[in-house]
Parts: sequence; structure tokens; C-alpha cells
Amino acid sequence: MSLDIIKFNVIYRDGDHSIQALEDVSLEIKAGQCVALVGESGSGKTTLGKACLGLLPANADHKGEVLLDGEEIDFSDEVALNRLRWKRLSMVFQDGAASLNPVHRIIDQVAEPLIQHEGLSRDKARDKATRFLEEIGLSKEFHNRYPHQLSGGQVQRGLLAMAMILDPAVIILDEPTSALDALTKGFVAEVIREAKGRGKALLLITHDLEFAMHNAEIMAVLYLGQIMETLPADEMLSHPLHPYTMALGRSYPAMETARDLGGIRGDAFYRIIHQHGHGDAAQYRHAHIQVPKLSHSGVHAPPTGCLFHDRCTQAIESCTEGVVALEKVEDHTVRCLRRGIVTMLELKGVTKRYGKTAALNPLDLNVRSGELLAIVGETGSGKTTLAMIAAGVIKPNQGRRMFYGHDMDAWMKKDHKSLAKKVGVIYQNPAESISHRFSVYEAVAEPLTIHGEKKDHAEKKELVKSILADVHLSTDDAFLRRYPHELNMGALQRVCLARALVLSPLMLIADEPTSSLDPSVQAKVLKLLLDLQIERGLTMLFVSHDIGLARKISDRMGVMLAGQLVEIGPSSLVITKPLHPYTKLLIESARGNWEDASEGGSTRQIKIGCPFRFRCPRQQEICAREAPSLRLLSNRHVACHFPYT
Amino acid sequence: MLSRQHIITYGIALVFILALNFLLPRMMPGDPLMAIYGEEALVAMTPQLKAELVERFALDQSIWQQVGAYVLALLRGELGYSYYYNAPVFSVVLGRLPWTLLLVGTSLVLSTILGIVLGVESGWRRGSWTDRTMLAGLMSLNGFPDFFVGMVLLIVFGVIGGIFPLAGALTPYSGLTGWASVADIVTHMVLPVTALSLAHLSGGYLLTRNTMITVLKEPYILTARAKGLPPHAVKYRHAGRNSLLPVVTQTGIWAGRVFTGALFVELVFAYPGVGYLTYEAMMARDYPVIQGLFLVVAVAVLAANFLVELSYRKLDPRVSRAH
Repeated sequence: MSLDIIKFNVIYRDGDHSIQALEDVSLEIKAGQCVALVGESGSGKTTLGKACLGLLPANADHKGEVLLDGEEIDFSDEVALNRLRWKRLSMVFQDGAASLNPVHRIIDQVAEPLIQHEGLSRDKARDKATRFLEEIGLSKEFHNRYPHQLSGGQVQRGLLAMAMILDPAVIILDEPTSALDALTKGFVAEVIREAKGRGKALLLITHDLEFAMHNAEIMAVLYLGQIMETLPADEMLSHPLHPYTMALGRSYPAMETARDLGGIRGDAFYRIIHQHGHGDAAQYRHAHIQVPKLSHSGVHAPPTGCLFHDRCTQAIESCTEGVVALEKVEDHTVRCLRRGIVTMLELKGVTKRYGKTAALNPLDLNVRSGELLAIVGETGSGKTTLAMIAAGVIKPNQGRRMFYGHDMDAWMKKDHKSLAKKVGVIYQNPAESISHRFSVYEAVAEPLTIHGEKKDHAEKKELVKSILADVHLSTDDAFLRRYPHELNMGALQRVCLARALVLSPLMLIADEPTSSLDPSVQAKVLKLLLDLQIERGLTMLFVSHDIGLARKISDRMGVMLAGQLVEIGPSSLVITKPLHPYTKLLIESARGNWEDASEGGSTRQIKIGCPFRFRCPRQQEICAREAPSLRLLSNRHVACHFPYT
Repeated sequence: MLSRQHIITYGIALVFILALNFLLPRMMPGDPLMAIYGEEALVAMTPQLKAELVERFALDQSIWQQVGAYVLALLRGELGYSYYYNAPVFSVVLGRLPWTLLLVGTSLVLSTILGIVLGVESGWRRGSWTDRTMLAGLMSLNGFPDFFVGMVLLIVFGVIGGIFPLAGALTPYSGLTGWASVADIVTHMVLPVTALSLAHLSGGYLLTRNTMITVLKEPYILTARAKGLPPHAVKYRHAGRNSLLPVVTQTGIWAGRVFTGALFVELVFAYPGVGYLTYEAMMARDYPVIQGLFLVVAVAVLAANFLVELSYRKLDPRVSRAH
């Protein structure tokens, strides 16, 4: 009982152009396994489901194989297909009640395959269907109803019963939960679990990432007909490797995610293949991505390269060329030239001492491209030192700093300016970080002057204005001539932001950028920051003492204590299920429960053992002897001997 | 099954029809007796008869008493007396009714079934050669009125071919009995039934084909195909069944005009049905018969509507909720 999809291609013909719906999709679903197929609408999910049953419309051409239990399905033979359909391979269609015939009773529709395939009499088939429907939780009084007389949940039960009535080996579930509330979804999950237990192979097509994570073993991420990544389902939110997977996860309102919804910049439309003017249509080489904004001008996206590159936040020049193949990275397969999300910043064993005081103990940190990493912790835990080392503003005593794959110190020695151009910094106090002698224009244009960019005055002014517009500030000349003391804090911080962004940096380091702002202005600035991050694909290191705020904006969160990271992982996990007692303490304090926050003396100068042990409710004898080191535990890293598990 | 609202609706319609039938002759200028009985009656009119008629219709009494007399007469099955046929209108109409029912009923059933089957098959094969041929053929057939088709049939198969009789519903004075008489009636029916069926075939066909094309795009058709059902089951049990409603509506409308709809064809074939009777009555200005027919036809329309509504519920369970 398995389903093997091998290099499957589907093209919809439509006049002089065609739409590439699927390209070289390969998926393997073993017995007892559920594979989830996720992706935005239009990515080709449903097309794949229908294709497996040979239900593609007449204008669809396909190439590639589908093996059912190792045996190829012949899609040209309708008679053979009809013997196989439903009996060995069935599908739950996505349209709910619309997938049921309005003029037949639900019981008859469930019983129909029995009559057709097993030659049962109408009465016997109805008896069996009755039992099936009751097992799946549709009580007898509803069996004789018509689809329009049933609720969404009842319809879904009917559809599931119908799909399982012949006990097929492979079941394709197309959006089985999209019309259901959270409670009703439970029974679909139950049916899936039970079917897996009986060795069925399941293909779950869904945009419900959370449902997929909990019910599937493997997840395949489809984008414009290509599989971008296959990954263990539970790593969807915590450890995506493809930028698209990350962006998709960020767009999904999972219960666990704390961060505000992100979305993905740009839009995907269709992949159009133009047959006019190009020779070999069978090569599928002239595939264009038709993006709405481009389609208006009649220009198409470049014909080659990664399909996602114009929306990708880490795309480089070579992403626009050639064909990108799937590659094995860790236990994922990823279709990305850069082997998945790249590491923007890497700190290895970085330390910093101020005189005798250790501000940073040896510390490792990775910031992935396009993510927003928040560093939280109490005062004096070394957050700002970390941020300044990351920004290249101060030098660490020991350790290596890598930025964008290059050694930062060597880079700085050679050419400090070109590094500084790639890293933007925003400081805590906007009033102090802009010279009061500079007008708004001068402040924002200064980095351009320093780096010798845009020598032409008019051009420079244009750029400054566009950046000011990006941060939602006025662009009229009167505003450009204003001085810092004439602006309020919110506007001033936005000027700082404009100043940090004017050189289009790869990374933005923000040290408490909003702590001097009142909540309403803070909310505006943060929203702006998030929008800019999505649109420009900025990588951000966001330092804050406010864990409540950090959780609303960050993808990952690192918790600092005494110059060390004690817990680092997806923000959602860190917030909902903190492992380290210190993290828990921070969260509880943020909630206003200060009872546990007993003072336990200075934590910094502890040379031996866990720095948190004096305040720790869970401390034991080993905590005094041995400092815990970071280890991987439930999808994140934690440094604690006795974490909450 | 039927709501009170429905019954009230039908009641109102019936009252309205009766009122019209009652008022029209009385509103005509001149002598109401003449309006009710026509010129034919004047010939036979004697003061004695006149007095009797005035009394029967309560013409010398108040309008409400006239209404009462009218309703009572209706309840007794009295539609009036035709002096042209020299028989009660009721029995005149009743004598013609079976023939029309036979003629129109047969062609109604035939053309509806054939229209549905052709429509389903044509819609299923949309764009194919078969579909396009059928579409073109039936579209052009749609352009011809039934009497024209009837005349062509009559000339080709009756006059030139001599296969079928030219007129009437049975061979007069043949003395046939049993199966032989049935065969005689059938041969007389063939041409008029064909003419009527052909004329109405394209309507049902076009409606079914159009609905079929829409229905085939519905998700439940995909479900049916995915279930591995053979084409005929998908076509008829799932798609065809859902394409029926508009055709049934159309057939219902036509069935409502069952007694007059065949007027021209009955004329062409001199078929002794209600349509032919209508023609005769009009030519003879036989008002009682015309009024009787008016009543019968109106009631028939109501009854047909009622039946169509009943069948809707059977065909599409969703209708029982709609009003």
C-alpha cells in the first residue's frame, strides 16, 4: 500500500499559451504514512490529487508516472482506471457539500461504490453504508437526508465515509478541514490516525499548516508546481530550510505562533508557457511566472532560474539563472541554489570583558537570512554588547564573527566601509543618535555621503525622499529641513530607521529601538519595521528587555543571562513552553507575577556552575558544580540541567 | 407536503378564473343571453325558452344571486348548452378530451424523454462532431412551427408515401374492435404525434444540453467519476438527474396548454380533439363551447402547474425549502 509519484508534470493548454501546473513533482507515500502537501492556492496541490485518480480535465497534458503499490497507473485506459478508482485509490474532495450530488440522499451516495464495485444489492450496500456512517459519527437520523440538509461537519463525515467505504489503500484528502471548526477537525484527525494505523497511505492536501504538522509525517511544500522543500512535518514552523517554507509558516495563524502574521512579499500568479516564438514546447523551458504587476505591462518574469526568486528575501544574481534542482540538506530536500536559508551572521565562541567584568561568556549565535531574531534578557545580561559585536561596532576579545559567509574581522581590516554598508544599526535613544546639528535630510543622506553613493544631488534627494516615504514620513521640503528637536520621538526614531535603511543593508540590528516610545508610537514603528522586513527581506537582530514585545515580532528568540544564551529557539515555543526556569521567570514577570523573582545576588561574577542557580526553584547540587551547556531539546537549545519538559 | 400558502395560491387563481368566466359574457354589450348562447341560440329562441334561460341564469335577479346560480351550475357539471351541437357543452368537450389527451400526452412524453436523452448525450460530448450535428439539426427544426412540420409530414408520408391516413383519429364506420381498432388509432396518431414531438423536441433538448454543460462542471460530477462509476451512471444518475428541472418546467408549461397547444396540428390532420373543437366553436361563434373550453383550459393549466411542482420535490429535494 503505497503511492509513488515520479517526476509528474501537468500542463493546462489554453489557446496559444499554457499553464504549467506541476513540474517534476516526485512524492513517495508509504503504507501507514501521511504526507502533507502544502502551499499557496494555485500551487498545484489539487491538480496533483486529481491527477492521481486520472481526473484531470481534457485540456491537461501530463508526463511522468504514478505507481500504486509499485505498479504504474495507466491514465489512458478509462475502463482500467474505473476498476481502480475508489477501490484502491479514493479521494475526499475539497468543496464539501458541493462534492455531493444534491439530489441523492447521503446514504445512497455512500453506498453507491459498493453497488458499483462489489456488486452488492442496494439494501446490503445501504446496510454497510449505515454502519460506516455511524462509525464515523453520523447518526442514523441524518442518513436519509440530502446534502443541503447537513451541516459542514456532517458533510465532511459523509465524504470521509464515502472515501473509505471500499477500504482503499491510498486516500487523498483535499482540504478536509477547510470548512471545519477546530473541534470538528478533531474527528478528521482521528480518522487519519486510524487509517494510518491500518497501513493506509494518505496524501493530505491542505493549507492548514497546523493540522498538517500534527497529522502528517512528511510535508512537501509546493510552489507554482514545484516542490520547494520536503521536510519532517513537525519542523515546518521550527526549522524550515527553504525561504518559502519559512515565509509560508510566518503567514499561518498557528495557535503556537506568537508573532504577528507576516505574509509573503509579492504575488504568485500562474506559470505561463508561451508556445509562439519558441521552438520546443515539450521542453517546458519557456516557462514564465506571470506576476500580476508584470502581466499588465506585457512583460514576463525571467524564463529561467528559481521560481521563487522575485519573492525570495535572499535571492542573489545566480538565482535568476539556470534550473534549480532539489538537493538533500540535513533530512530535508530543498530546491534552492543556496541550499536553503543562509546564515547571515554567525558568532562562534565570542567573549567580551570590560576590565575584570565579563560581559559575554563564550557565546555562539546564528542569525538566518530573512529572520527576525529577538534577544531578550534582564539588564546587564550582555544583550547590548552582543548586538554591538554583531554590528561590528565593538570588537570581541575572543571568538570568530562571520557575516554573510566571510570573516568579519578580516573584512573590517580590509574594508570597514563595505561591511558597514551591509549592516544598519538603530539605537535605543533616537534623540541622541542623531546629531542635533543635522536636518532630517542631512541625517538621512549622511550615510550616502560617507559611502560616496549617489553623488548627484538630485538623485540623492530622490533616494532620501523614497526612504522617508518607506518609513511613512513626510517627504516635503519643509520636513526635510527640520531639525531633531522639532520632531517627536516616533518621527525621530523613524528618521533613524530611514538612516539605517538608506544604504539597503542586508541586516538591521536594533537595540531597544522602541523603548523610549509611548505604546501607540511603538506599535506604529514596530508595524513599520515588520512590513519593511517582509518587503525588503531584511534580516534583523532585535534586542529588547521586553519579552512580551519580542514575542509579537520575532521568529526566533534568544534568552540571555549573565553573558550567555540560556535558551534559544522558535519564539512560539520559547514563549508557550519555556524550558529554562529563567525564561519562565521572565515571562511570568512580564505577566506581572513577580513573586518568584527573588533577588539572588549578582549573577555575573559566578565562575563555576549555573549563573541562575541562586534564583532557581529547580536548582540542585550539580548546578553549583557544573555550568550547563546548550543542548538540543524539543526543537530548541537550552542550557539547563533541569529544564521544564 | 403542500403548504397552506400553496393551496391559497391555487385557490385564488381558481376564483379569478371563475370570476372572469362569469363576468366576461355579462360585460359584453347587448343581450347577455346572446353573449352566453351566441347567435345560434336566437334561431331556436322562443319566449318560453327565453324565460327558462333567464330563470336558469337568474338574470332577472341580483348579481350575487347570479353568481350563486353560476357556481351551483358548475358544481352540477353544467357548462351550458351548445345549440350548434345541440348538446350540453360538458359532454361536447368531454367527447373531444380523450383524443387530445392521447395525442398531446403521447407526444409530450415522447418529446420530453427524447429531448432529455439527446440533450444529455449531446452535452456530455460537448464540442464533438455528434454534439455539433445534433445542435445544428435541432436548432433548425426549432425554427419550424408544428403545423408546418405537420403539413410536410402529411404531404410526404400521407399524400406521396400513402403510408399513413390523411385525417381523423380512426377510420370511420370501419367497425374495428379489439387490437385492430387500437392499431387503427395508432396509425392515425403517428403523423400528428410526430409533428408535435418534433416541434417540441428541440426546446427540451436545448435546455437539457445547456444545463448538462453547467452541471458537468460541478464538483460532484468529479466525485462521481472518482468513484469509478461507468459513464452511463455519471451521465444519467448524477449529471442527467440534475439537468432535469428546467426541462420539467418547460414540459409543465406546455402541458398546461395541453388542450389548445395542439390546435394547429389537430386542424392540419382534422383530428377530433379539443383544439379542433375550439376552432369549430370559434368559426360557429358557439360561445357556450368557447367559454367551457376557456374554463377547462384554465383549470388544466393550474393542474399541470400543480403536478410540475409535485415532481420538482421529487426531482430536487432542495426545492421543498424554496418558495
